[in-house]
Amino acid sequence: MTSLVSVENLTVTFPLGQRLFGAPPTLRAVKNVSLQIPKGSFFGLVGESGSGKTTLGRAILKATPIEDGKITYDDGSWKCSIAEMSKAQERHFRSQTQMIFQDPYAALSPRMTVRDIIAEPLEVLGLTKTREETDARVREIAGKCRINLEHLRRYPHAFSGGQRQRISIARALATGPKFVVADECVAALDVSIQADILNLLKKLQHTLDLTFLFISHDLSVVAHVCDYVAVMYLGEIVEEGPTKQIFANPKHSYTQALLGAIPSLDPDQRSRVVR
Amino acid sequence: MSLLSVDNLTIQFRTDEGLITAVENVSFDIQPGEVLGLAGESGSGKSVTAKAIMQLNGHNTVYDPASKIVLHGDPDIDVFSLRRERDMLPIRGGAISMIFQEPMASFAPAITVGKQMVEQLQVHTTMSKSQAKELSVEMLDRVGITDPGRRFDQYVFEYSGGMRQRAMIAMALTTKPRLLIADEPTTALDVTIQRQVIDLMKELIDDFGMSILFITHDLGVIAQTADQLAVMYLGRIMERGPVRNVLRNPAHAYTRGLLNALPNLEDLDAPLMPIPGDIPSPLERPSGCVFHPRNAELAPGSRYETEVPPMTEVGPSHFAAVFPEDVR
Amino acid sequence: MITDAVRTVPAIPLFMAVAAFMPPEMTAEARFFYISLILGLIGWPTLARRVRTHLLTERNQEYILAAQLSGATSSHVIRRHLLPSFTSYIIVDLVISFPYMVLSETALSFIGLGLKDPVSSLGVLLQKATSADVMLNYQWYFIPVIFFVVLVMAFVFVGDGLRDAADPYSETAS
Repeated sequence: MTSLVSVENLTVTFPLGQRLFGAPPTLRAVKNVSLQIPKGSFFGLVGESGSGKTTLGRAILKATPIEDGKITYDDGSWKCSIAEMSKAQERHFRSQTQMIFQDPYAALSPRMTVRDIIAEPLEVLGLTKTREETDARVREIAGKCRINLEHLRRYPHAFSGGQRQRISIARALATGPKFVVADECVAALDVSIQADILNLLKKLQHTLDLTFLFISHDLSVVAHVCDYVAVMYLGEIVEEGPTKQIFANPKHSYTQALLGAIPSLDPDQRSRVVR
Repeated sequence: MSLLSVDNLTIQFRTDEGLITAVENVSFDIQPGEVLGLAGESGSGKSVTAKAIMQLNGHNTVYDPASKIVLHGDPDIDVFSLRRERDMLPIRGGAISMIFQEPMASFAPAITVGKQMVEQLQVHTTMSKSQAKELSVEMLDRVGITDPGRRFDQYVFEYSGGMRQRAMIAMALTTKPRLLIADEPTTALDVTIQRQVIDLMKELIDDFGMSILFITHDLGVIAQTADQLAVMYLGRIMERGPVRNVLRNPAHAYTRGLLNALPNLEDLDAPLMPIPGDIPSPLERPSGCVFHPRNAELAPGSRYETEVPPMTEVGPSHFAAVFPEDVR
Repeated sequence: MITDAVRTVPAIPLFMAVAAFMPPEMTAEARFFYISLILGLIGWPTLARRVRTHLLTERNQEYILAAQLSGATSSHVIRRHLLPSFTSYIIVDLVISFPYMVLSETALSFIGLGLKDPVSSLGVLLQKATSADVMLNYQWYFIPVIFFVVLVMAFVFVGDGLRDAADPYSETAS
């Protein structure tokens, strides 16, 4: 089992406010976290608010500064240490990794057409040479995400949450990345649509050979789609392992509390028990 | 004798794009001491329905003249007959209290929590300030806020998320309402805090004996708290009945679809089954049964495309919007 | 901080000081030119502040982060996302500031610091209306006020319309 992303002793801190003299107090969002994300896996990162899961996801994509620790990306043919990338390395890294966001409304620029939104990463990284090539690629990826080609000309405000999320996914996959961080990407969607998006992600994972880091607070969703799960609490990973194992036999008290808190659909049973 | 009866409630909104129907022919009853769960996704009209009971919808709201909301008691109050804002006063916060999804939005940020609670009591009761304070501190304690005396004098931003929700519940219950309307009270909370708030609400139901109209999209939360369940889709009630019956023997395709779309923790390998299609825009309401375009079980050209099915009895006190010949 | 510092400079005393320094033999056009220059220098902080607040919020939007995660450089982000978002502000501000400039000039000429006879402007016209004699007997001298109000309203409506056309998806669009 080779790791695509290897995190070692990562610490991420944020300064809280400003001070006239001396350093401001800091918040350690991620404390000395180590994690291995296997290539080709659907890796779940679970935690409540304040657990640091979003910060960890962003740190891996170098979207927040790292205070201490090492993150390595190794897809078999290309390897680099994320904290110390050169500009050229970073360009390549950006074409290989992407993120899907939680809020389908804030994640898409209201002033750009759907086609332009999906094409942006291609244009920025200069991966296509002509406009026709970009258009062809956009149509291809839009088709895979089941976006109606008619919709490419329209603006995001015309679409529902679920459709916008599909546009977000298409944008993330336009450059053909190998690693995608999905940050609570179904949390804002209705239940009937959630299932649809999750199925789409699983299918894309198989057809495009992707590795997902799936960040969520919703354990039942994670239980269904992820192969591995890491549970975070207050900046630390308290438990991790294959999904079925964690859900059948949680060892850490926080994991047990999390599982016990899921309300059961059976009125005569307090919480959902996993068999 | 029910506590609240809602009959043929139809609500439309005047917008730039025309008249949008948010709620259509919704009828239900809430018995004293009962918890009715109103479940639905976005666009189902559940929040609009709740706000209609408190007359909190905006000025562009059009209520159909056949709609009736009656709060039974001595005397019966027909909510739509109350012409003036101040006639609603004894109801809002008095006989009926409401709590919302975002507690931060319910408390004024620049006034201490205690002051707001006392103010509410002074509006609805003849208590003196010190009596009101005593009752408020007692309620804060009752909802599980530690050190309630100190918390009374704090501002809402000094409270954590779960505490704010508890404070909102405390404030809603000080006036001993007969009906509590809870609009997505646990949706914004972490799952462990949600568990605590659900347990708290169940205790309070036992203590206070009030009825609750519990609005949420989370069927698990409803299963744990409600006695009766009504499922709404696109402004209509699709199914209604005792919670065990509806969840265990769903009679309407939408209820079945919702339950199937939920991740099932019993079988982690089972695929997730979404409901096909998307929730239509409110400007494009389907004819007949509003759910028919997404109902995979229907054959094309069925009755449901053109006719609105009646609420048919499918079990004891259990109704669904299906034609009698389709009852399983 | 700088914008705040500039905004604290009181306008009228500044003009009085400038007026004191301007030699009387300076032509009306030159006078006009200098007044416009100074009005412009005093006026920019307000717009700058608003644009800055708007940009700070926009910068934290997730679609900006999405662009950055695709490797977009700062100049791309500015050009493609941030700049179009505040064109509406600039247009509106531009159009609304016309009446403010007219008002400022009117005020200045009214108190005698701006243009003078024989050059004519709304302010000069109104200056004539200051004497008690005129106020009592020759009320028609106040007619320029009506023109002024109509002018300002016209610019406001045009500005609103332009803003709605340029940025229909801004939050303030009804």
